[in-house]
Amino acid sequence: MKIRSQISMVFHLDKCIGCHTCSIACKNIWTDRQGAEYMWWNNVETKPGTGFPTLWEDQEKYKGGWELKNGKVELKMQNRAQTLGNLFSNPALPTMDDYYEPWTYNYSDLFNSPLGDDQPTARPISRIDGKPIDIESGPNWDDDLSGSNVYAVNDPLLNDMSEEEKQRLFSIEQLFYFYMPRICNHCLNAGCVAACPSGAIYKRAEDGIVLINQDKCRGWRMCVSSCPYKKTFYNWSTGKSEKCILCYPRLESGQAPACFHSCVGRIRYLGVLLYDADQIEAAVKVPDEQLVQRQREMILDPHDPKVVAAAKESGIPDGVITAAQRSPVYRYVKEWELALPLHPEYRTLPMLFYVPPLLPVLNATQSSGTQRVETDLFSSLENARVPVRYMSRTLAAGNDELVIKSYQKMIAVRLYKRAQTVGDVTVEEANAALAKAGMDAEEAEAIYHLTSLPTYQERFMIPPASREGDIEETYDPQQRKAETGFGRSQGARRGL
Amino acid sequence: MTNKKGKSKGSTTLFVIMFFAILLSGCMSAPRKGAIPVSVKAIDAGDAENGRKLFMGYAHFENEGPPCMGCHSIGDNGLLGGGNMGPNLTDVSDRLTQNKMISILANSGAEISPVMEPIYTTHPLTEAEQADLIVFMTESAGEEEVDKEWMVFVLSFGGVGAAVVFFGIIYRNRLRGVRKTLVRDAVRKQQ
Repeated sequence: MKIRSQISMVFHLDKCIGCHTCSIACKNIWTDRQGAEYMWWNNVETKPGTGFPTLWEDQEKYKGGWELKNGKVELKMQNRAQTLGNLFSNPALPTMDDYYEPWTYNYSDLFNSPLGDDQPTARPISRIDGKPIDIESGPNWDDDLSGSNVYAVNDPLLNDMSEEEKQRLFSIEQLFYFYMPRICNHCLNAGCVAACPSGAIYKRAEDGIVLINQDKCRGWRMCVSSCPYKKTFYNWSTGKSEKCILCYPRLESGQAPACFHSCVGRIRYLGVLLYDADQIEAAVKVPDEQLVQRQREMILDPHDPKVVAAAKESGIPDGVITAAQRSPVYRYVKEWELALPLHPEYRTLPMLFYVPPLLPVLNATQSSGTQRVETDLFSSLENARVPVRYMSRTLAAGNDELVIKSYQKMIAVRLYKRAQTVGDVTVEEANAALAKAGMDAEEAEAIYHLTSLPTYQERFMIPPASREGDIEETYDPQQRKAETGFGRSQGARRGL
Repeated sequence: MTNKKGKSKGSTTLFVIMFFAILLSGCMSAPRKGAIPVSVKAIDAGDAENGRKLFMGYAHFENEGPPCMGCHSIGDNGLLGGGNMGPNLTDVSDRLTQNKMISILANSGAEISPVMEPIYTTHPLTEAEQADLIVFMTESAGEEEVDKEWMVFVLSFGGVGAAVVFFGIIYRNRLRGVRKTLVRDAVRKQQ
């Protein structure tokens, strides 16, 4: 058993209001630079939709992630020989149009235009070449189902539906959508790390954050293609690739990453998971429907004395083990099995988990004008607007059972709390729901607390960084402090 | 610091001196300028087959002069024909006397080619080579002149075309724009 620690995340989609505050916080801190204008290390998508970049989930086009071929797991994009052959002409890169051409407005025109009868206007200008542009798309162009005849209907996850079923999905009063905030998943079996010809991408040993060494990166852009989530980006100004760094400078000083900190709906949780690195290879080789279960098995119980002893032997500091024991992510993912990874079928073992959004209740008003909550909520699973199939293709590699189980628990918690506070559900009915979901009142109470009333410290269980301790002996702390942050110590010799 | 700089300056000077020394020594050991013209009597001993090889560049000149075919053409010169820079030499023995031919080949005498002179002064032809070439050129008289210039064009353009097709096949599955296609299809559907 080789135990490692990983800083992992849970996004509670039931709480996401799609306000994009996380994206803006990230943009302001990290990607408001020349060459990075088009990057959104954090973005919020509307599902169903095609996301950013357009159709990123369609791996037949983008060739991201891994594939199970004759019992071996291989990069979908290319093998090593092909990497060498395609080195100077990467065949699977998104175009600028698939992201979007970043733009700003010529604000100075508002102040400098001569006196006239008409209002001056600020024309949109490209942030690439500075010339006026016709805006055709943006990073969230399909927000709230806008342009759904172009974007939402082409969602790759709907491609196993007939035209008729799709039509029904988007008809009035049947319509549904939810938000999907996405950052780098900091995968255990990251495709970007495997594809990099320069060996510039690495997974930090102490917390599993995946980073691109800006000095080693040669800009081949194989990571851009092989990340199935399209979360590495090429900076046209520096000639290097960049990605979400999980705000490690903030984490190292005990603060939550910017997108987590700024989240209005408080949907984001962060904590340490201990996992067995020896099981990674076996875990990515199982059939699709077992992937999530196998990934859960890899995650170890930090309360188990055996695991604690093995973790100490593997050199994991006591502070990290304590943080793992208090991790909200562990509770959501392993203890309650509510949270599921995004597209586990890409076999990268993503370490960002999503609690599925509770489905909108069917608006089938009875003749009396009222509807019993209990029957409504349960029937909603089968007659839901969001087909369970859609959620299972998003979060469970097509395994409906896992999604249903997660939903049953969430519904049971809701009924349990309604019985307590509203009283339109009897205690017996609530208990029956709990029993059906296979949980007790204590667990329901705990889920309710962590979902609705968590404090900052409960949401973000950030392990103490031991970097200062490691560094002090060889490096002047004052110098270290001055040099920490994003950027390169050496400028690129090419690029612009 | 200054010490280091001085050292590097010194070594640069040394390098420059050595560089020129090598250049000069190269000049000194250069082949003797000018060739000995072959005597008319010796021409009869010339080997036409070896002359052909020398002309076409299958055999090397002893003093490493460039083969005649670089600029001239004679009869049917193989796939791509000979050069077009100099005159076609198929019927040269009808146009020039043997003495003039020797004079041009040896760079000495009444007739000296202003173009060939600088090339073959440092790489003179030996007497035997001159004899071989003259016999070969004399025997070639009357052969059909073939213009192969069109072949050069065909091969050039054909080669580029083949390369385009080849790389097109290799990269046929590369990712082209995704979003624009969606928009186009949606617009088409509405019409």
